[in-house]
Amino acid sequence: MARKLLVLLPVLLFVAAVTTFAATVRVRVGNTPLRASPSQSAAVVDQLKAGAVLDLVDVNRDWYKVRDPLTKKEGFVLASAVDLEPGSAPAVSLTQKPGAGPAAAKPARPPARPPKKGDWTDRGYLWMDGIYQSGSSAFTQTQTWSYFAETATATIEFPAKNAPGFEVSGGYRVWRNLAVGAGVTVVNRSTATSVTGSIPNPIYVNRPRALSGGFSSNNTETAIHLQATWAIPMSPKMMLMVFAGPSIFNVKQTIVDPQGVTVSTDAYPFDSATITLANTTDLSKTAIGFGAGADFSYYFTRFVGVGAMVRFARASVSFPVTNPTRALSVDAGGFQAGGGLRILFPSSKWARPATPAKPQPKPQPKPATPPKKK
Amino acid sequence: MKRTSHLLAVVLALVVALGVLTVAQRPDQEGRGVARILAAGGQDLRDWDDRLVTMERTRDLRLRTTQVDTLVPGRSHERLDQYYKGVPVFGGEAVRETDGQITRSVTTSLYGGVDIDTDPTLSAADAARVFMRETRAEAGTTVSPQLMILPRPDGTYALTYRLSAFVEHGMPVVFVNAKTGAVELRYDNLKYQQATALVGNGVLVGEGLVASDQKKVSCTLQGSAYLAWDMLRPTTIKTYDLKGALSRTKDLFDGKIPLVQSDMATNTGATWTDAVVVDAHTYLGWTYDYFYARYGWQGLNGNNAHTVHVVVHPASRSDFANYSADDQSTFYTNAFYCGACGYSREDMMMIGEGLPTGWYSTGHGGQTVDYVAAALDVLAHEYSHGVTDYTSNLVYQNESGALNEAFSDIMSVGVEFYQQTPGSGLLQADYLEGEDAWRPYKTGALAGLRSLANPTAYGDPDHYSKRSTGTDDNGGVHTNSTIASHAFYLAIEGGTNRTSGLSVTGVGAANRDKIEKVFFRGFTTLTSNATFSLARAKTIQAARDLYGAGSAIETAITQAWNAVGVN
Repeated sequence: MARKLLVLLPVLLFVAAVTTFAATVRVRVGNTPLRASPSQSAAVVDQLKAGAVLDLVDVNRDWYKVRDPLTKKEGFVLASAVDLEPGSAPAVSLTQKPGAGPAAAKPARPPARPPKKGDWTDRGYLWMDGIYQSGSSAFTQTQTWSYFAETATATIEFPAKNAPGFEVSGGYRVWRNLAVGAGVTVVNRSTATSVTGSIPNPIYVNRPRALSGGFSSNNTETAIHLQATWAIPMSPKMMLMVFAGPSIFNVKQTIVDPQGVTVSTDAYPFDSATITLANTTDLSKTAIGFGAGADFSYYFTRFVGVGAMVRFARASVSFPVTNPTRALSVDAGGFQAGGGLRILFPSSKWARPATPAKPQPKPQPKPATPPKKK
Repeated sequence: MKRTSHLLAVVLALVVALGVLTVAQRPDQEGRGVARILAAGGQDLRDWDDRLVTMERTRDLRLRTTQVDTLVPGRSHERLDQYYKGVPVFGGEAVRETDGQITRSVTTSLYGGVDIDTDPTLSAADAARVFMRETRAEAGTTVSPQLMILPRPDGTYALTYRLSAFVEHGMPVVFVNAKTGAVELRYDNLKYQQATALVGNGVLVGEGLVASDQKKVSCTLQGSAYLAWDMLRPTTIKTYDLKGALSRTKDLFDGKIPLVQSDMATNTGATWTDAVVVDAHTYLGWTYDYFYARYGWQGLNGNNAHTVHVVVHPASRSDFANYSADDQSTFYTNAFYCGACGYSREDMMMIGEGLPTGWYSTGHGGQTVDYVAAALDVLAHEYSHGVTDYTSNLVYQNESGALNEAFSDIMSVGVEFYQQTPGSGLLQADYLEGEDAWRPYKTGALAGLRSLANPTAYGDPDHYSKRSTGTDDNGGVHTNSTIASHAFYLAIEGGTNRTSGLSVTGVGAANRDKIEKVFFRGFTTLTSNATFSLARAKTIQAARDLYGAGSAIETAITQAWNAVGVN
């Protein structure tokens, strides 16, 4: 059930994102001409009424390309003839000259440096991923105890196990293409331990037998990856991000209690013994490590897309163990690969170019001679 | 019922006429005497199978036990007792080996020509009084008279009461004629380690205890003390410490007092300090393990139904000089198995206390005697008597008694080689019996009580022609045992019999388990009054069943019996 929710969550958030970000303008005065191209001499497509709300399609210098949602007519109006509706964000063409934006969309504070090609201008990002973690390190716990007047030794191996999990990450752009943020990954796995070792024979001295068996154990790694992210827009639809930073791992791990293993099968003639039970405690410990990775995303719309992420994050967590008395070191983390929803938050000042509108069909010059029929 | 007896006589006569049997001891011309045969195939088997069915129908044979064959899957051995007019015939029985509904072999010791009145003149109480007078048993001794037909050596039969009880140094079995009150037969059913030995005093050369090696004592915690009560093995083994109180030991075996938990050996520390308890207790466990691993045989009766009780420290060494020679040679320099013994009819063993410093046994060139518990083979020997009691129940007299002893020696050697490394030192496996307790007192003296490899060195026969035929030692049950146990040795190790000069190609030490299995299967399916000849036939048949006719195992077994003069 929980897994289903994890899958549904990004979908629900996607719907919310689409309905939130749409730019509109309001016509200031009546009879404002809607022109076929961004020129005072261009043909008038329609006469707009005062107060009419139009969808903003694109920005071209002093002209807005708009669409009348009622008549479905598209055309260009002078930016000065309309007001940008509150909450809307005008798209800024990458080719827009500095200071050429519409007066209503002018930022309260002018940017320290106007965006150039390759600049990332969104406010921030949000990822929601299903991830898969591999490369976790196995670890072992040893136990010795007195068994029928001799010493038994068991080595419990907690094997490395790749496991799925999920991630939610977000970042806020602080300078140029640099964002700071945090990601949370949660990976939970149930593993079957394997027990090996040597166990005395109950009725004979110095005739140890091989020990076998195993039992289940749980491991939950919850990590907060504090990450500095550098965004590299590759095209209007594609973006690469690289990130690194400290990772704080909290590991909840099944640990065998002192004298915790229980010999479950050892009956006459005592040829072999198995351990399938153990008294255990799920200990929780936190440690700081390091993580770094990269994300590639592809946007279907202006702000919503999908992405794939890889990360390597590692921290060494120490659990106190009393038999034998020593710290049991467990390496948390590993390689994480994930994929899921990508959402960008547009900046009020600068924005990535929107997905280009379909180019207006240019009138094709008539061929001098009709094409020959083949 | 007389008709039945005549029918049997006719049947036996027919058997003689058919003739083609693996082995046969024939009744006399009048049909009297025993038909001791092994029919393992052909028309003979079919005829005998039919006869057994006929006798069962007329209640002249009655099923007593069914013994599952642990070595050949699917096989069972049904043991049937012979009755005449509702009265059991002593030693009269048949063993039918079955494989599902098919009869594979028939072994018999059936008596023909029984024709006597079965109404006793004496009452059971009268017979008990005769027993008390005969054995000098004290009043209160538990006896259980049982009406029984006793075959006499001359081929005639007597209606008798069979009575038995532990008395002083033995377990006399007495057959009292139910018509006249005369004692027809008496023998001692206490299975000793050895015939009673003489003891003299002298100077003891210092010899340490063998128990310098560590062993695990399987015990049970009761309160703050551990009891020598083995619960790790499927059969319960309990070791009792009588703390040297000989009168109490005797009362225990006489049945005057019961076995109680307060007599069990105890220890409070982490290490069991009494090496005698350690050895007796663990060696019985080791013996159990051997039977389990080698034959799949669990406990005395094969299915763990009976607790093994062993008594140590039956007498005090410090009192040694105060006791009679009988007491000395029973409770100091001996060990015995007493089946269904004592107050509660338990299976009990006694392990002797050995000789005090300064004393030695005059046998075999002079021997010191350690605590007898030091000898693994002695514990295994006594335990094996229990196995015999619950299987072939070989009568502890004459040839069947010698086979009973031989089986115990053979099994005890098997246990040694299973649990110890071969060698001639202490705690090592060899073909001597009791060598870890009976040790040479001086140069030239021998270790142990008997040798399976060279019986004559200990005064025992290595050939049937040299068997003791007197009445001592129950008709030579110990001394004559080496005829069979030497055959066992030859079948494994090979060699030439010193008396016959016949050579045997042994199967080698690596195959000793096969010879052991052959003897186990052959001996545990014998009839109770079997002879050497029947033992030969049964072991050869076992070799065929287990390893195939004409196998090297069968050849070795056959050559070995030939070499010791048993045909």
